[in-house]
Amino acid sequence: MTDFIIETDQLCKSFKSKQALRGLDLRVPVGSIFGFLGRNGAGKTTTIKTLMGLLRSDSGSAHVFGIPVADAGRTAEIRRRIGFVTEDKELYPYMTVEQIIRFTRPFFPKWREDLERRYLEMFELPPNSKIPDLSKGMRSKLMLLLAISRGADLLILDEPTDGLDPAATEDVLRELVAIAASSETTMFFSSHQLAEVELIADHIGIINQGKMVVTGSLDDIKSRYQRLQVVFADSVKLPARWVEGVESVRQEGRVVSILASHNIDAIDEQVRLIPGTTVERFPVTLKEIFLEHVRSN
Amino acid sequence: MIFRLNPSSGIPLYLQLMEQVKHAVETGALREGDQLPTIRKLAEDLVMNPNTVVRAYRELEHEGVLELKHGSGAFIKESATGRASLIRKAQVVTQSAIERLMSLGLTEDELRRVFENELAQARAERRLEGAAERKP
Amino acid sequence: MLWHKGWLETRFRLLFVLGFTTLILGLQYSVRTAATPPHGKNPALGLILFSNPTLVLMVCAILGGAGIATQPSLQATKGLHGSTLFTLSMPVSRLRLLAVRASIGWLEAVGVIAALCSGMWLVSPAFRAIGTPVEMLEYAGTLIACASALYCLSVLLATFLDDQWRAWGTMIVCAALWWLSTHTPFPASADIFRAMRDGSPLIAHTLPWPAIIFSLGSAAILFFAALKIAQAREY
Repeated sequence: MTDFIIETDQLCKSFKSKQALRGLDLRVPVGSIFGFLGRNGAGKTTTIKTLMGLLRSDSGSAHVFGIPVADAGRTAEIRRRIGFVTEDKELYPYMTVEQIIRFTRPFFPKWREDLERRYLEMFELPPNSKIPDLSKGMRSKLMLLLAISRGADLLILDEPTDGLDPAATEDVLRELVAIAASSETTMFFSSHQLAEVELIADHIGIINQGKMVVTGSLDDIKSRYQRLQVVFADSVKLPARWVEGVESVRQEGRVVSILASHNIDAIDEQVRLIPGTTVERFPVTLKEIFLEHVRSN
Repeated sequence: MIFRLNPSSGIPLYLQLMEQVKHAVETGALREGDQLPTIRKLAEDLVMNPNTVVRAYRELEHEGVLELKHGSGAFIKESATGRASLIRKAQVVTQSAIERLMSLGLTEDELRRVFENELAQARAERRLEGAAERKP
Repeated sequence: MLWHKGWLETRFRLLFVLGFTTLILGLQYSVRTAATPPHGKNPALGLILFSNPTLVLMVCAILGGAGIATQPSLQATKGLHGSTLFTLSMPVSRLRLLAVRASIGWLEAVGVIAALCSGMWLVSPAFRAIGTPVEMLEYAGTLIACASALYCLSVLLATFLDDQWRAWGTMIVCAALWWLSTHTPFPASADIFRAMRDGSPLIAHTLPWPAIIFSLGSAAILFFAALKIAQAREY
């Protein structure tokens, strides 16, 4: 039995034109809300597809519920316990809302009719509307209904609020939080909306160019990262070598901004050794951490 | 009780929540014996991770601000209100210090910087003295 | 609910094909009383020797499907429809997806052939004259057996071609095979195209067993190949 509901080890995957995953290590704790962040093309969707058994990795391993994803005989077992929302939110164009619910329901023995009714009403989904007639926001909500009503142990959501207006986004996030609060369901979702990830996620993973660059508990990460703003009395030369923990240093005249990922006290000390400085500490937002790690190559 | 959190401020959300609960006690908005919303309700209302609420409540319990009665919820403790009076004393001291410094001609921003700088110095000094107390 | 989904996906294609069937039956009707020219074939017969195999080809090309990539509408699509990922995320093996969809198309093809044959029987006295009802049934059975191989070819192509390419691809490959069968020393008794024309029970008055067995055998092999491709393919 594992503590991680999703676990990948040095996952590698190349396509004809590029190498999408270059040794990805992903650990998603059971019961967490895990925000999977990365630029477009960094490998988020490739990772998700590999976990769902849609792609086969070139090397490395991936386990979901402790079951190896590569085990062809057991992938159906994995998928029976996962609620999935795809990136483009496309469903069958020849079905109505009612029909696709009736299509999906029999595949999942743990289907929750109460949740189905609740979301049908809350999301205001007209049962007899044909799916292509729904707006993108409605289709997203429909996919969410289908994913959540399965009674799944794990929700894998690829950009769940993409294309939704702020009110709809709020609705969706509130429902995800409600589910997290009332059940052991783990939520793994990718998103570009850093603000919403900061609010509801308790763990994050930032993927850049096919590798995990920052991962762990969001609280830990945010408490480790700090920004030091130093004002020098005169234009001084900065230390040639900084102590461990300095991620980036930006200087403009007599003001220097240091972004540190850890070891903040030692860095603070090092700075104060330079005469005539005033030092201020600032907390760092997830956006700054994200940009710092996805811009450098 | 209305809490407002800012996810982009960089300050961990659980700390923000704790601050706001403590502030509510200090100003009298929350009194001894008042019940705080359940973890689930607060998480849903604020659209934030329930574990964050759990952490905030636990830390507040650890600090003696509230007590978690298993099954019934979180209630403000009597000693929290005691802390509130200490805070009020601190407010008085700070108020007179501010008045004095401002009469010397310092602006609000200068005052704030001086205060934060001294706080950081004090923190560094405490760290040098009490290395053994540092949490792992 | 895979059966219902397959039905919703294919019903308009079925309608389209039935439309063509009606067209052919209409043509049959118009030549039903034509006199047979001396030293020539009965025009009604001549028609079925060409029209029926062609219809069978068209039926296979249009109704074939692998059940994985969504075939959204009557108009064949280019590229993979987004809902394909939704299908693949269901806890169903690719074998089951393939088998159900292939079965639906096949049953529909059988339905069309049955409609064609019974329609012909009713419309044209020429057929009632040349063959017994039993032979008519045998004819229908032969068409179905021969269609199976071509149908499974369509299913195989569906596992890796866009809907658009698959339909035309099936027709082109079948046409090529038809041409090849008449120009190469392929044993005539096993030739499925011949079995649908001159070798068919209505004309030759016997069941072309070698062709039927060859066809069913090929169908099985093609289906198996389709399964392997469907299982190996990445989306």
